[in-house]
Amino acid sequence: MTGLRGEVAIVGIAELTESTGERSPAGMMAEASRLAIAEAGLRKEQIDGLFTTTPYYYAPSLTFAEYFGLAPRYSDSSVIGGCSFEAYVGHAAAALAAGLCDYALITYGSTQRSDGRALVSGAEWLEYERPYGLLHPISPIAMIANRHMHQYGTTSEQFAHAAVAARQWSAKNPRAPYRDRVLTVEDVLASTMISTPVHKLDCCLVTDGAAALVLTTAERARDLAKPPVYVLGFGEAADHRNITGMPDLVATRAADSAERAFRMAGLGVDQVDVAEVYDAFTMSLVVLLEDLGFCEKGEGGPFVESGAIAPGGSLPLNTNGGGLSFLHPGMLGAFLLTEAVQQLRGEASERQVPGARTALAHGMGFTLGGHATVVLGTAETL
Amino acid sequence: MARVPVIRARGEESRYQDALAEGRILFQVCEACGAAVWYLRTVCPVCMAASLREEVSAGLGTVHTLTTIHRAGHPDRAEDVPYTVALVDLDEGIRVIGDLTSDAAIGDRVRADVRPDGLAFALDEGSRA
Repeated sequence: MTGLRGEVAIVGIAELTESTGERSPAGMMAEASRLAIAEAGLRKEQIDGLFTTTPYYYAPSLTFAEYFGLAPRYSDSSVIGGCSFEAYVGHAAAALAAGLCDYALITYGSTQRSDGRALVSGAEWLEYERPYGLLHPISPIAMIANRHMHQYGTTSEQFAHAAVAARQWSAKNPRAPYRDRVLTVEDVLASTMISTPVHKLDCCLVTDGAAALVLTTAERARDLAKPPVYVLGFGEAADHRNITGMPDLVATRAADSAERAFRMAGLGVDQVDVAEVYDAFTMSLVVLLEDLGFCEKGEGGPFVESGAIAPGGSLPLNTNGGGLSFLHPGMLGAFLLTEAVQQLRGEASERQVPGARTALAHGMGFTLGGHATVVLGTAETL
Repeated sequence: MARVPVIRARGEESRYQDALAEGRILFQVCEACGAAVWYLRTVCPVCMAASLREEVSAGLGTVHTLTTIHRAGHPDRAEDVPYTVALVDLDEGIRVIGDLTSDAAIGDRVRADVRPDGLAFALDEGSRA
């Protein structure tokens, strides 16, 4: 066991999950932040570390500090895609442990669904990929999926099982928009083909959403309102931005980030009670499950087909329905963490994994180019 | 290939585009470590050497992966759907992206037609087994 195991804790969380169109992205972040700070029993003036990004603002931490009325002495708007928020947990832990801030706020907000087709990504195209009209990020994921199918014999039916499992979990989540609508493998395969082999229902939802988390040192956490959820380990790894630069299309650096997180936590993958793994697409989820060690490389298809990730299976995964069946407001990373915290507090109601003491949250960025893994635990795991 | 997005190439990017317009696929070989490099860099991404020799690819390679796109990723390709884009491993040791204009599969040998606006790969009949 090395590093910052158990040194910091998550002490407040909030999620906004309705697509009302009544708040701006910064307005959603402010409301989520207010709720998370209040839940922790803190005052806004105590927040002195700010960790945020969103595609809506060029300088997200400045924009949000101004909007919400903060004057952080430590701020971080690193962008490694949707996993930026798992990375922020590690960055915040380091800053808190070093005394560079005392109370860290991580937040995200997006009005992606309300924006509809008006949403224009600010992301640049790689000059050399630009002429070919890849549909981002779906076509790069499709290329990864086709290679996986070619190399390991994975089938579209197997990928579809990941979407079906997510829908089954979402049935236990009163906030999930399609919780009453049963999804079958046949439904996924019959949905519109977007970029072979990616069907519409292999893709995540498009929703609004905001989330916030407050972190502090374990010592300060003891006096606060909620039972602390401890950061046991974290790790990052990143290596590409564009699909032409992906070193190996079927094996990602999630293996490295997870290894770093598990090493710090002093735990193995078989000791994870509940896992929240970035599921923007069924295909990317299958690759990540392999790289994180939940099954062998190349066995992701049979693994999800076996029912392992459905309710009642061997791996409680994406217990709120995930990006595939609950919410995906552009970037999912913060919501993987908030669900993991709810599970470890025992607050997940019908979807609660009984007795969960350890949780893994793994985010990926862009098309499997950025990775950050966080291992969380209850006080018993310290 | 139909109309393509406006290119705003800078520096080594425009050198690549200019070569493409003349029918050549540029890549680099690192004079220090021998790495084959695509796209063009100012510094070798393997060993950080600044001495990169530019070479021209023969345009022959193997399909590594592909996808047929049914919803255009850019308005300029709306009339082309469905169109297929592939990653191709060229024989010089570089991986490039291009249109795939014939009914090829992963592992098939293909040859590049170098067009001013990009690469279009088709099955290489000469190397068919």
